[in-house]
Amino acid sequence: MASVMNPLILGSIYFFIITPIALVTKLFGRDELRMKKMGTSSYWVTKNKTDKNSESMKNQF
Amino acid sequence: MAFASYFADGFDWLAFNFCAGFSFCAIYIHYFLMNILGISAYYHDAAACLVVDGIIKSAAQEERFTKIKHDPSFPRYAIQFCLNQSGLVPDQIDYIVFYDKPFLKFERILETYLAFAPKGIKSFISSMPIWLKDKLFQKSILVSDIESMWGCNVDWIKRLLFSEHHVSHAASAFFPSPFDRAAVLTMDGVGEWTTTSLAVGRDNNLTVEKEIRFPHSIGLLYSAMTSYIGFKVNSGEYKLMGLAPYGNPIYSKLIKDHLIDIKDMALFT
Repeated sequence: MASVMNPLILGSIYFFIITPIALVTKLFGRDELRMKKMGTSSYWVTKNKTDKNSESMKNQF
Repeated sequence: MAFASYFADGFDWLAFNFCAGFSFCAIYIHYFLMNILGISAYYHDAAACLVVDGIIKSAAQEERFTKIKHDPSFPRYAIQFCLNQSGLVPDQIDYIVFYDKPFLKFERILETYLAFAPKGIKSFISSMPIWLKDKLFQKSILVSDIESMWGCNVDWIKRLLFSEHHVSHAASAFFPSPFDRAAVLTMDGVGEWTTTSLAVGRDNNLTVEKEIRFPHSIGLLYSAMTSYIGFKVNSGEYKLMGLAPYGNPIYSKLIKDHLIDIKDMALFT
C-alpha cells in the first residue's frame, strides 16, 4: 500500500506545493543556491557570526 | 587570604592561598578532565573517537568490526572499542558529539528542490520517505541507539551535541596539529551547506571565517567524475585519485571551459 500511496502523496506535494512556490519565488528573483553567474571576483561568502556560539552545538540547526 | 579563579582553557580551578606573616604559599592545580565521544554515523564510514582532556585516546571505524565496507550503521562496536581502550565506563562520557547538523542538511535539500522544481520529482519521491521517517528524527534515533547500548541511567539527550560538518573536519586537522595558530582550509563534497571552508584556529578555539556553499563544490565535481568513470560515489574516489597520476590531462581545457568557472580567489562549479 505504501509503495503506491507514498509516490502519489509525495508527487502531489511536489507538484501542488513545491513547484508553485519555486516558480513564484523564482519570478521574484530568489536565488538561494546562487546559480546565476555573479559578477563578483570571488565565490567565498562570510560565515554568519551567530553560528559561532558554542551554545548552538546543542541544536540540530 | 584566599581566592580562587576559574580558567576555562584547560584548568578546572586554580586556588591560590597566601598567608601573610608565615610566607606560606600553596598553589593547587586540578586538571579539568573532560571525556568527549565523537560519532560519525548514518552515512558512509561510521566511526567513533574518544577525546580525553583534549587528547585523542582512541578512534576506530565501524567497518573494521562488522566487516561491512563503508558500514554506515550506528558505530556501537567502534564506540565500545574506544571505551575499552581507555578503561572508561559510559557514565564518565561528558559529551557525545555528532558530526553534522541534520536540520541544516534538510534545509539545503529542500532549497535544492525549490531551485529545480518541477524537475527532480523522481529524486523527491525516493529520498523524502527516508527523511520523513528517519533523518528528521536523527536526535531521537541517536539517543535510542545509545540507550540500547548503554541503558537509560543517564539522560543522554542533555549530553548530545551537534557540530557542523566542516567544523568537524577543521577540528580534526587543527587540534591534533603541532600549531597554536593556523589557517585551516577544508574542501569536501558537501556538509550541511558548506563545501569549502576557511577557518582560523587559535589555541583551543576554531572559527570558520569564510565558506563556499552548495552546489558550488570541487568535491562534488570529483565525485561526479568518480561516478562518470564507473566507480561508486563516496567510495571509489580514492581509486580515481590513485589512477590520476597515470593519466594525461587531455580533458583539462574542456572541463575548465564548460564545467567550472575559476576566479582569482575561488572556484565555482
